[in-house]
Order: sequence, then structure tokens, then C-alpha cells
Amino acid sequence: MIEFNNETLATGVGVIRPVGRLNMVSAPHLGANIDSLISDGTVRLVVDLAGTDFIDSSGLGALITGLKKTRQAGGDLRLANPTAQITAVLEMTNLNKVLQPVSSVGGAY
Amino acid sequence: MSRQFSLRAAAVPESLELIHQLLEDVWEGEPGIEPMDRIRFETALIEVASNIIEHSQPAGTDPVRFVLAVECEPERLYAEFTDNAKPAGIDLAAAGLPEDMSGSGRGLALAKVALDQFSYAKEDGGNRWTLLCRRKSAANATH
Repeated sequence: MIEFNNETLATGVGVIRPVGRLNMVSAPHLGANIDSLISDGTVRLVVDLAGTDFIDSSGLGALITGLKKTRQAGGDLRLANPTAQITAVLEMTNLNKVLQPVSSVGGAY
Repeated sequence: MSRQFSLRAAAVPESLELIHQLLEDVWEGEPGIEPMDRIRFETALIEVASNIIEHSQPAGTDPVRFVLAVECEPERLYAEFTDNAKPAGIDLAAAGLPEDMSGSGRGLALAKVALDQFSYAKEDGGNRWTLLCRRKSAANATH
């Protein structure tokens, strides 16, 4: 199971916090959260992964799709606080170059 | 000494949770496994299971089910998935990472990178995948 605890900062940056595992079941929910923020005009996003225990290739796919959509809308999507498994998976797929994580939500922009 | 764990499950997304739970049992039973070995093994198992769940076609009237057997040994973590699905004819040699901005197509390539040995074979009445991760602590001990 996964939960999303989202907020919009005073700076206009949208923070998405997936709590649980990002896999083929939950990745579409991450995509829907990203789409919803973009359609509300929030295009600078941070996905805070501090509470995300596990990510698989479908979770990575949702992040990349979100990155493309935010950039097309004039914004960006950045990652904060990746757990050890997420850092390892980003490295194994070479996506650490495209989705460079930062160590805090505040440091993302 | 080898410790063995197994489960039999329907090829449905909810079964992924059973695999995470089985691996929790493995980690509890063998607390000395390096975190990176756990990460590599768990990531690969979930990718293979997801592939079976997403792409398998029933061979007949029976719904697709799989059996996962895990062996934990001092030098390696080994897993085998067998299923009763129509033979999928996977070519693991062709499973490479897509371009960076692709939104899909990374699953088997990720499993391949995570593992030390990875095989797929068509079987009579199904498919068989084997996954092997050499334990880092064992590799260090031999140097």
C-alpha cells in the first residue's frame, strides 16, 4: 500500500511524498498525483522519497514521465532524500544523471 | 548451511507484497546479509515477478500461478521462479536499458544489472527463471 502526503510550499514548489513502495500497483498513482499538480499550474515539483521504502522500474518510469511533463510545462521534477535502495536503482539504471537527487526538499530549487 | 524459503502465488499484482514478506523472513533468518546484496536481490526478484504478472498468458484454462523458491547460502542468494504460463520466449541477451527519457522498458535490464547470474528458459508447461546474487561479504572473505 502507498500513501501520498503532498503539499505546496510558499515558493510555489509542489512536494509529493510517496510513503510505502513504488511498484506496478502504486506507480500509476504517482503519475496521477504529478498530473494533478501540473493541471493545477504547479510545475516545479519535488518528489520527497524519505518515506519510499522501495522503487521498481515502473516507479522509475513514472518519475521519468513526470520529469518530461513538468519540463514540457516549463517546470521541472527533482528528487529529494532517496533511500539506499532508490539510490542504488538510480545508479544501476544510469538515471542518477537525469534525476539527480538532493538531500533535502529545501535544496531542490 | 543453506536456508530455503518458498511461496506459491497467483500471478496478480497483490502477490508482490508476498515476495517482500518472504524476503523479510529471509533477512530476519540471516541477519548478516549486506544491505547492498539485499537491495540487488530484492530489486531483481520484484522485476522478474512483475514481468510474470504483467506479461504472462495462460497456457490453458488455469490462471497463471508461479512458485518462488529462495535459497540463502553463505556465499550466494539464489532464487528460482517457475510458472504454468504459455512459454514467453524471453531473450535476456536483448534486454538492455532504454534511452534515459523512456518511461518504460527497464525491468529486465535492471534485474540483469542487479544480479551476477540471470537465466530464463522455456519449460514443459511453463517458464523458469533463475536469479543469483553473490554475497559481498563472501567475496570480501576470498580476497
